Amino acid sequence: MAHAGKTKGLGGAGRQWAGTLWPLLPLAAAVILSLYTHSIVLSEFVAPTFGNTGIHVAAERHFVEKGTYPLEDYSYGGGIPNIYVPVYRAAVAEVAWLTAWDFDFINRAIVMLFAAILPLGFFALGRRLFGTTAGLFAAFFTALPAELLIYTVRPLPQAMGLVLLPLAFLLVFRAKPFPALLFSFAITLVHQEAALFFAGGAFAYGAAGAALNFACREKIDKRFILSLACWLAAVVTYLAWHFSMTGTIAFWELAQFKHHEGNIMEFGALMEKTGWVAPVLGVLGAIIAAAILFAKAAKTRQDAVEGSAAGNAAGNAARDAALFGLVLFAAGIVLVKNDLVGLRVFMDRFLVYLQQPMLLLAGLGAAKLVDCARDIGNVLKQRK
Amino acid sequence: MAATAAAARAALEILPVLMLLAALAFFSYSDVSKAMDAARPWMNPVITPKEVAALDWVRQNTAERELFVTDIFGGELLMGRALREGTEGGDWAIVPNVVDRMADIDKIYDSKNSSEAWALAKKYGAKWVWVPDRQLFAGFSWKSAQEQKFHDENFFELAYDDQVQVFKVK
Repeated sequence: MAHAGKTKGLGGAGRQWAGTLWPLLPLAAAVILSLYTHSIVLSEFVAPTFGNTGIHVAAERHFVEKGTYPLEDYSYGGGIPNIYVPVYRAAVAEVAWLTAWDFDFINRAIVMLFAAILPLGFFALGRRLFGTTAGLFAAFFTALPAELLIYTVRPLPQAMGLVLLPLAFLLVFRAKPFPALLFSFAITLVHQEAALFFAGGAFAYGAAGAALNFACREKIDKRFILSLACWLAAVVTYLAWHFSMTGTIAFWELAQFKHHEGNIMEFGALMEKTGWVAPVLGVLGAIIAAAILFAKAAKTRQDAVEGSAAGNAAGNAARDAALFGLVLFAAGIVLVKNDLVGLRVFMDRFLVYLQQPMLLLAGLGAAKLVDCARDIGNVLKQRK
Repeated sequence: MAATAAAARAALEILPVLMLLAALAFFSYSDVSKAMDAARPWMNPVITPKEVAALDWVRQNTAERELFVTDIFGGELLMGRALREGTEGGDWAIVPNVVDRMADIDKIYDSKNSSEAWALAKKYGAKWVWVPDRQLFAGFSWKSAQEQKFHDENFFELAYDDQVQVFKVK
């Protein structure tokens, strides 16, 4: 009704703009902001070298010059099987092979491409979960956490994983079986940590969703079954890759596990690497999501107990979206604090994955604040 | 008069939203600035233009996958741009006894003893030593190479010298 009022008197194009196209303007601004923050990748005479970028370029160059993926790694004097998952490296090698451009140029161009896609992915997922305004805020908020910038401004498989994750989660949430399974496969072969977060999130969402359906006396939604299927696809894909390169599935024998690489994440470090806006609004969004989840779940269960018609599709969609945001947030917290369960691997490196659901929930929190401000505006208008 | 009143009402209606957005923009700007400040040091290439230039010599005078004693950044430069290997650099997680290796490479650069550096280079099968004119990081701390020992011709031979020195391991 609000839109109908606002668009009264406009022509067809004007109505379309006011009704559906207006988000394009702030979305474009979010993309420009992301391009600006990532433009520091162009500041030096070579592409960034911190973060072992050279080992990826070695595999890419080998791919182009020899026509095969190097089975023996170049790391630390070579002589060891190359277990690193190949999709990012193969993608860069393919661009180099097709264009004959310099690897420095390609790597920096890819970073800028990722910079453009990152807010679009968050917008698409945030919009699907919590509405257009929340999606737009989530797109803007991708520019806030230092850790997310640090891991997407360097030409690394992590960057590709972080860009693909919102899109993969979107496909899972929309219950698109073939593309979702394809993305599960692809992300697993792009970057191991991104794969772990994806698989963990998909499993947790599938299991929590099935439990919720059970508690609400519903049949298990295909979205949750697909979520579990994506988890299984990711696990099988990685184990098959690891086994094919090493002859064993014992990935826990890696030095990273043995030496417990990674630092414990304390609250101060989390804030330093995330900023203030995203965590504060993220917590607000989590509270709102929890309220939606419990309210809608209680309503569905009440309807089931009373035997009334189960026509509450919109309510169930909002409930499942709230569950999605909360479960991913919880999965991120578990990974960041994995020292508490005795794993002690990569705690600080997982922060950037926790930031992903945090940004989505922050989008929800900000959108609700806008709703409140709008309500206050209406009250002021009426009093005047 | 009526138009002015309507405009005032419209302004009042959107004022709280604008104030909220302004506050969010203010605090977000601070976070964006901090994020960029935190990310900029990660853009430091560490390697020097002279090291990149020296790769022409490397390609012409060494075989593919030939092993150089390097720190992490030198190794990644050589593998990424010339498909040569360094004693360090790359994915440490898959390397057996990697901490011992880092300690040994650190010692090769840090030691003042030519025979000790030569023996450690031989232990890893290195044919060359990469000594750039910058601080080195072999896994534990940043330090300069004790370069004088590599000039002992009983153990090493200077093969290239232009703000990067490459020594052949005898």
